Parts: sequence; C-alpha cells; structure tokens
Amino acid sequence: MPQDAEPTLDPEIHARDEAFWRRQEQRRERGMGQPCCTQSGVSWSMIDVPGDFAVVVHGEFDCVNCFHHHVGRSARRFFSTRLSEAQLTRGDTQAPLRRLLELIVEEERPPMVLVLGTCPVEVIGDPFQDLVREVSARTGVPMVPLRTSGLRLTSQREMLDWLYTTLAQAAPLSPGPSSEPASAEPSSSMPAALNLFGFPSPRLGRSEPAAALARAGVKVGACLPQGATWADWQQVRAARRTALIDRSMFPRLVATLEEAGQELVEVQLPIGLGPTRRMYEALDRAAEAEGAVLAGIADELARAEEATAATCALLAGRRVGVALRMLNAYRVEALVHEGLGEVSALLELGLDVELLVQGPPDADARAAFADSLAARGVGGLPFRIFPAPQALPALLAQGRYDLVSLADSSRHAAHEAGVPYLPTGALQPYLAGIDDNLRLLRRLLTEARP
Amino acid sequence: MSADAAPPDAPVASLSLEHFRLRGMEQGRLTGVSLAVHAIPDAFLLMHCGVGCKHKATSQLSTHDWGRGTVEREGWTEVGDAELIAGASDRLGPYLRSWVKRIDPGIVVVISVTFLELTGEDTRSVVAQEADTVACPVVFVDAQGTSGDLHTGYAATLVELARRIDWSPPPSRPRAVGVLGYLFDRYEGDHAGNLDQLRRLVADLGLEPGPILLSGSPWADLQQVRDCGFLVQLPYAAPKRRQLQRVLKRSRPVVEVELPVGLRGSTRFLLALARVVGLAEAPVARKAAARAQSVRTRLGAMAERLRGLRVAVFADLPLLAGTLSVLEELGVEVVLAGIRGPGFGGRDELCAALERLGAPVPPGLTVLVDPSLEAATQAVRARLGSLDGILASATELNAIATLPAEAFLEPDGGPRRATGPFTLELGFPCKQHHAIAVQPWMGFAGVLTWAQRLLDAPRLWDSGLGQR
Repeated sequence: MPQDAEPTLDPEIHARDEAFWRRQEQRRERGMGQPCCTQSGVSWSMIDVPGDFAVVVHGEFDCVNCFHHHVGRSARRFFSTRLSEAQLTRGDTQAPLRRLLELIVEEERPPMVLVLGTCPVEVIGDPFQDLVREVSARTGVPMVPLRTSGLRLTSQREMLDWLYTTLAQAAPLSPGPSSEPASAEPSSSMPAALNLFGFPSPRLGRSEPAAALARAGVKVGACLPQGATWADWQQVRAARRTALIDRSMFPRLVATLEEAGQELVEVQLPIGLGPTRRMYEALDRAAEAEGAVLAGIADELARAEEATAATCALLAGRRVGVALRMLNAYRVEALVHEGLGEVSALLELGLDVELLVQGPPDADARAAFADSLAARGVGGLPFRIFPAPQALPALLAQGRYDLVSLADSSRHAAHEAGVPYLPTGALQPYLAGIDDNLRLLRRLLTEARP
Repeated sequence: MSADAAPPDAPVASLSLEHFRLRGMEQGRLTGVSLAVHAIPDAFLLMHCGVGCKHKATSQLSTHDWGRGTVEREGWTEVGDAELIAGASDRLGPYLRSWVKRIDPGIVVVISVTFLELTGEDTRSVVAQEADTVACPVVFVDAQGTSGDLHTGYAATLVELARRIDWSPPPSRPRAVGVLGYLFDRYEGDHAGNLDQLRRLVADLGLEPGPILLSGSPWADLQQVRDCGFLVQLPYAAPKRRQLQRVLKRSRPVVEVELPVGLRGSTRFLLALARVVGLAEAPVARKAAARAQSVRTRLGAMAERLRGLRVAVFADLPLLAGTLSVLEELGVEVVLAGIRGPGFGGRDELCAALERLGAPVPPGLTVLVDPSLEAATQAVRARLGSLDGILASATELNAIATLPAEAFLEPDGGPRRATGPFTLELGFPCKQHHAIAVQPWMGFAGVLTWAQRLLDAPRLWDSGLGQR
C-alpha cells in the first residue's frame, strides 16, 4: 500500500493516515514469497494428494472456500465442522468436532486425519488440539491437529515445510504394505537408494529423472510432493538418500529426514539446459552411479545443447520482465529458489532479464529485496518494485519489454500493455521440456504483438 | 428417493457424516459479493479480512472468467494477529482513502468476515463514518461465512446498491423495463448472449429495455434503472426479496419471474411481463408461439439426436428448474437432479419453480438437496450404466472424474459402456467451458445453444467403439 495517502477532507485525517502508513511499513514482509493462510495452503496442497486420509477444517463453512475444489483428486476427503455463529460466540465448538471425528472413525477409519484450525477458532481460543489427541488415543486412528489460520502471516515456503514435515513424521521408517500403489516404483522391504523431493512430476508414470535413474540401475523410492499419492508419502523416510530441490526451503523437513538417517543432496530446479545438466550430475553423484546416469542422457543432452545455442543466437538481447511475489498457488516448483526457478532458462538464452518485484516501494524494502536476490545469485540483475497488480500495465508499457512472465491472475495487465505474456510456471522441466520451451519463447518473442 | 440436507439447528448428535462433507457449492457470501462487484467494471471491493479470505473472492472466479481480470479491482486490509489485537477496524479508513485515490472507483463495496466480527467491533458503523471522507459512494455488505451462500451475498450486494438509488421521483421512461437479479459472473459470450436475449424479450412486447442489474455495466449506467417504469425481478434477487421490496417502496410495478430458459420459460417471461404492463395476452402468446416454432424449425432433425438421452444435472435451484424445463423440451430425460446450495430451498421449491415455468417434474426423478461431493459422486456412480451425460459445475465434474476406472468399466453395462458419460459444464465455476462467441442459454435462441452444447459435449472417456 502506498504511503502517500493525501488528505481528502481533513488535515487531521491526513496526519492520522500518515502515521498509520509509517507503522504499516514496519510490519511488511521482506521475503520474496507472498504470505499465506496456512489453512488455505495446507488444504490446497492436500486436495491434490490421492489417498484415503481425511482433512477436517475446523471452522465456519466458508473457511473451506479458501481453496478450490474444482481441481485436485481428493475433494471428497475433506470435511468441515460448519460452526455456526452461535457455536462460535458461545464457545460451543468441541461437540461438532467430536461428532465429526467419531463419525469419520466409525464410517471410514482413514490412515490419518489432519485437523486444521481456522481464524474464527483461533480468535475464540478453542483448544481443539486436546480434543483431537483424546479422540485419536481412544480410537487408535492417527489424528494430527495443526493450528493453521490466516492470522499469523506465514510465507508459503514455511507453510509447505510445516505440512511436509508433518506428513514425513507420520510416515513409517521402513516402507510397509499400502492399500494404494505408489506412483514411482512398487515398494519392497528393502529401502530405496534415493527419494526425489521437489522434482516436477507428471500425474501419471515416471518423471524423467526417475526413469533415467532406473535405467542406470538405481532404485528410486518416492517422488514427492508433486503428483505424489498418500502411499508415496509413506515412503518418505525409508530411503537412504533424498535428492531435494532448494534445501533452504525445507529446514524442518531436512531435520526430520536427517534424524531418520537419510543423507540429503541438494539439486537445482531442472528448467533449462544448464540447471538440468547440473541436476543430472548431482543425481549421478548422489546415486553413486559412476557416470551411468549421465551416459544414459548423453544423446538428449547433446541435442538440447545444440537447440539452445541456435535459439540463443536468434533471441539474445530481447528484453524480458519476470514478475515475482505475485503467486499464491502453493506450488513447490513456483516457490523453490524464491520463485526464481525459471530465470536461469531465460538467462542462458542471452535474454535481457529485468525482475519486477511486487512489494512496498520504500527504501528499506528495496534493500531487503536486493539482499535476497543477491543471496540467490541474481544480484546483478536489475529490478523494479511495484506496489500492486493495478500498477502493472503502466510498468510493463514503460519497461518496453518484449515479453513478460507473470502470474496467470494478472494476464490482463500484459494484454492491456500489449506485451506478450508467459504465465509463471509455463516453462517445462527436464531435457524433455527444452524443445517445448524454446519453441514457446521463439513464438512469443518473434511474433507480432497483440 | 430424496437425500435432504440437515436442518440448520439440528442437534449435533443427530448429524450424519454427510452434513460435514464438502459440498458441490461451498461458496459463502463473500464469493457472492465478489461476483457482484466484478459485475460492475468501475466498482472496487475492499475486503476487511485475513489473507486466506482473499481466495474466496478470486480463486474460482479467475478460473471461471477468462474475459476480465479479477484482482485489479480488489484490495484487503491485511489483518493479522497483531492488527486484531490492536483493533482492526482502524485500518479501514486509511485503506479506503488510499484505494479511492489510486483507483478512482465509481463505487466501493466493503466487507468484513466472521473472525473480525467476533471481536465485537462495529465495522458497519466505522465504514459509514469513513465513507464521508471519500468522494465516491461506499456501501458495506455483511459477508460473514457462518450462514448464507454465494446467492445471499450477491443479492445482499444488490440490495445495498439499490439503496444508493433514489427511487422517489416518478419514472422518466414509463415504457422502459429494468431487470433486477441477473447473475452476471463473467465477461464472456454466454452472458453477452443472455443480456441480448433479455433485451429482445422486452422489445418483443414493444417496451424499452432498461438497465440490467447486474450486467457488466458501470455504476452510473446501472443507476438509470430508476428511470424505468417497470421492473422484472429474477430469482437471484429472491434471497433478499423483502429487503429489496422495502427499498423499492412500491415505487413502480415489479414482476417476479423464473429464469427465461427454454421455449416455455421464455414464453412465461413474456406473458408475465405483458400482464403487469397491461398488454393483451393473446397477441403475446401468438408472438411467443411463432418464435418457439422458429426455434423448433431450426432444431429440425438435429434434435432427434438428443431425444431419449438420460442425464444427471447439478445446479442451483433457479438454473436447475430452467435446465430441467429446456431438457424436457429437447426430449432429454433427467433421472438425477442435485440442488446446489441451500439458499433457494429443496424439492418442494424446485417443483414449485417447475410449475411456474409450466414444466413437468420428470417422472421418477431423484432429487438430492445440497449434496456433498461424495453423495453426488456416489449417486452418479450408482447410475453409470444408464446415464448418457452429466451437466454440472466443474466442482462436481472434477469429483466424479476421480472415480476409479473400474467404476466406468463394469462389464455388465452393455454397449453404452463403450463410452463414458458426456460432461457439460454448467454454473459456477466453469473450468473448461468458455464462450468467445455469443452463446445465450436464455431466451428462445438460447435453446439452440443448449442443443449445440449437448451435441458437442465431450465424454469422460471414449473407447472408440460406441455410438451416440
């Protein structure tokens, strides 16, 4: 929000507003990610995990409207206590929760129940976690209360780390029988050599690195979290090693996995030629494959190098704006590397990248963003700050960009400014994605503007 | 058979698991307010809320509307725990003034949410006080999420907007007809077509089409509704019917109608409006019959392709009634109907709406009232062998699509099982169905769109062996 609110009618109001905005500056989030409601984020993440678990949102019914239900494969696994205004004001919130949990146990007996808090129950101080633990202990059905809400501003990265740590802590130390097949390889009693965490995964079938590792004779366990099933999550602690993207995003998960005796290997998000090559080099080392993984992809890698060089010759020097801190979709691939995961793929084509950071335009915030970008290795890139999506059309027109990458929800800003638009997350991962990416960028950067 | 939702005050011990499950329509009042504000291109929505509540306003709307951005004309007051303790309502004034200065809106709608109202702060009064510090009109709409639904929020916004209109002078356009309660949820060809059809129905009677609330028109244009001599009230205003009546103070005749969907729905619309205007019924009936015949001629032999199809439909009650009516006219048999949302009532209200449309209740129809996604999915699953299609929002269709493959592949289903049921997105939200071309589903011409969409509807899966 701006600090320049002018007095509309009264100098006294103006003075009060000025003081308000000065206080407001002190509390602003300086991180590169958008803050989130943890209930919304956890729900949004779990609705896409197929499995027999149950998620209870403990609050008014409209709290389940903080996440979408028209996509995702587990909307039927969600419940709401549907608290009424009378129940909230009287503090009579335990009876419906108890009733719901008992019905879930009686009729469904899921492997786990996540019980999520919401703003209304936080405001009235409902100690629902005690009730959840009591019902869980009495029935033997694992139930985990999480005091989620939108009251404490939390980054999406922190929220996902919290959720994934919770799921990891609920998983066994060795893989057991499951009612649902895992999406990677069939589990056995022997621990897998390697789990993959944070790697983009297709909804069906193996991901490219999982297939490459298998060809090199490496036993891959679970591929998490994208595309993962509940059964996959049951294997998260069972591997010897986990290769994960952006270790800094998952401090609690890393600690949990290391306590389980796993070795953690960090890799880069494999979007673009360089990051993908480095990812395979790291996987080869992590799997102790002695070059077998790299040998298996050598031909594809050579083709990708040739195609990238040809496109670089065509596109180098074009101006591309990349908008940051706009996305609130809880997708790991969009949050790792502070949302900069696609930038390497643009830079290696010789594109002239400028970052557009949504945030407060004051000097302190600018310095904080500069530090954050430098820590991510892109401190040399120019960046501009804009306060809100409403400012984008003018900013895009002023920047004379040939292309802008920004969140889908603001696509109309690009249209209004007449700048070709690349949705955040549109670039495809792995070697298999490189041709598609190059074709897309050539089309967007060489065709006539709308 | 009919599965009914639990009454609002049912004892906790009597509640079944169905009561707690996620429903097909879980959108509360805030989503309805957001739709209404989105429907006025120069309006601004200021949400006094927490960070998660923002999703209620835009997440599904941005999926549903590809025609216009959803985030550019909304803001929030960034309430977290510290602000709650300090007294959150103090934030309203600075945010209101700042946004008005930046956006210069025609009107601002402010909402607050349950957790803030629980603190006992009088947000409505604060908004009224701060409204005096800006030049544009500011209205407050209750958007608490413990009761009501999308339709309640939409209708409540409509009432607050109507309060801002001066209805006291006599209408300057006595032959003009304004419309209240049109549910405008996206800037796409379906609504463009419907609005054309509504205007045409009015013009068919020799009357002047007036503003339609809401219709994608700016606030200044909407206010011209006060000039209209007659008002038509569509069912989406009904959740706040009494409040609206109090605002209008019988200042001009209001005719309540069902949605003009299908041939008989459009005919009933014409007849009802003619009656209140004082036109003779017979010529209007002849004109309606001629228009209906023209549509039947256009449908011709193509309509035979649809005759005998058996489908399930999930929609809010006014849309469901219209859909059942038009499907019956097209010879499509509805075997399962789900009423989305609690706001318009249950089976009895659906039957009453059908009666007002002059449409029969399909024999043997199973009606589910505000069903959960699980109940809707299981009801469809139980009928998969005999269902040709499913008409529903993206939410129900997504849940049904998660049924395991075996559900569709049971060997005893006969030749029909060579293809899965066709799917036709209907209502809010739509994920796959978007309209660039003008595609009305209201009015006489709307029947052609229904037929076209049924013919084109994709199937959940297709083995390539079946026939339609």
